[in-house]
Amino acid sequence: MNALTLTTQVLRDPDSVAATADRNDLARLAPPLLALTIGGAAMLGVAAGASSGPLQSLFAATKLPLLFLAPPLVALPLVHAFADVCGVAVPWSRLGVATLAGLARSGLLAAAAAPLLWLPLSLDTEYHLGVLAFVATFGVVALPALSTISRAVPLGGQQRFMAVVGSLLVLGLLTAQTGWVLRPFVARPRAEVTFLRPVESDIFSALGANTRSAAGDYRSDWQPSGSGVFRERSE
Amino acid sequence: MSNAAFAPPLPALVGAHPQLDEPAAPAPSTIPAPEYHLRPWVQARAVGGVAALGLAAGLAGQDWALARAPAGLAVGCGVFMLATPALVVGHQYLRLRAAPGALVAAVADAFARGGVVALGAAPAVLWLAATSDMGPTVGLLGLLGIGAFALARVLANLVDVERRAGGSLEAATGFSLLWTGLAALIGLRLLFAFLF
Repeated sequence: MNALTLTTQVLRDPDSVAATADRNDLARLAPPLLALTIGGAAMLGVAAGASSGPLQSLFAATKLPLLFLAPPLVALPLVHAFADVCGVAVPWSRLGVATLAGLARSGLLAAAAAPLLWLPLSLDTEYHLGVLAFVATFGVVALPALSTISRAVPLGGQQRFMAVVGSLLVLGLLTAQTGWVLRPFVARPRAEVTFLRPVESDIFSALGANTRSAAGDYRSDWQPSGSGVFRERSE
Repeated sequence: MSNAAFAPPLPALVGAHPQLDEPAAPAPSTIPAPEYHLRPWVQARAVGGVAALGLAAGLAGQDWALARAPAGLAVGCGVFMLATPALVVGHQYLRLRAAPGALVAAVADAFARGGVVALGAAPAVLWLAATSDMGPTVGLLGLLGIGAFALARVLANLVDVERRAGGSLEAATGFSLLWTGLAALIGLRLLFAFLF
């Protein structure tokens, strides 16, 4: 299967890529699917960072593929465990190919959406609106990957609905938090360009503060603070 | 030794409980037999999973969370030890058909499934705990979610073992609902005791 055929199949029917996958298929399909994911995500990263110059574009293009790949890596054990206990055990190879196919599809959609994101960001859009536009774009292109992963688990079994909903919620939560850890993708105007910011607070408190700011409400004095393993230890 | 040393035999219950006297043919089951806990390594994965979930949630470096990391394991064991006798005794007292061993297997099967899910969730909770302060919250929500998942499975298993034994599904469903509620309350009480 050449690259163009695989790309077409991933876009039109990603389920069929995973449907007959075995261990050999995983080794054969992983490199091109990873390339599609990384390439597409990097293009969206270039667009997201473009308003702050080429260095920010390079940083965002480097980090965005990680945002695509890291959350599924952490969440797949849960998806596999849920499927196992629900009596619809799915082989790791099939789950792996389905995940890669879903991510490749999202990567291609990200590449297609990159100009749509770049356009408003290039027009000096207000920073907080730019961040929300990036989050919305990422959410739209990432949803098909979630859908493909959920469909990789065969029908039938008990409590499958609970398992699928639980898996997708955890995957969504992990993606949101990973995006927060890997920020900035859209840099603040006049801020120093950095590859990563310190690990601080969490995505939910930040999105709340950002939404208030985008609406013109600057009254709250929210400031991110060290958290997780980077929390400052009290004496 | 004289026979008079023994209590006279109990009168036969013929006619008093028709459902006991005339076993019905086992109805076809809708779910697999509760044997998940008998698979190789499942018990170790289940126990290790609940412990790993607690430890992952405590990684955030908050001392109170780390100290209470084994809470999930304690709650699971507590519910199993405190609530299962009530299940077996009540089930037999109400003259439902399923054997005590099948009831215990139904509970063990569901708890093992919950533990395996906890093992799968541990990496996700570990990642969230390492990069934010959400670790304890997510760990607690995970325990509650997995507990609900396991109890829902217990409910399905208990009704199914009664179906397999050819007993009354209405009675089994009602009793199983009551017992599942009792187990949930015991679990919440133990969780509250261990965490606060």
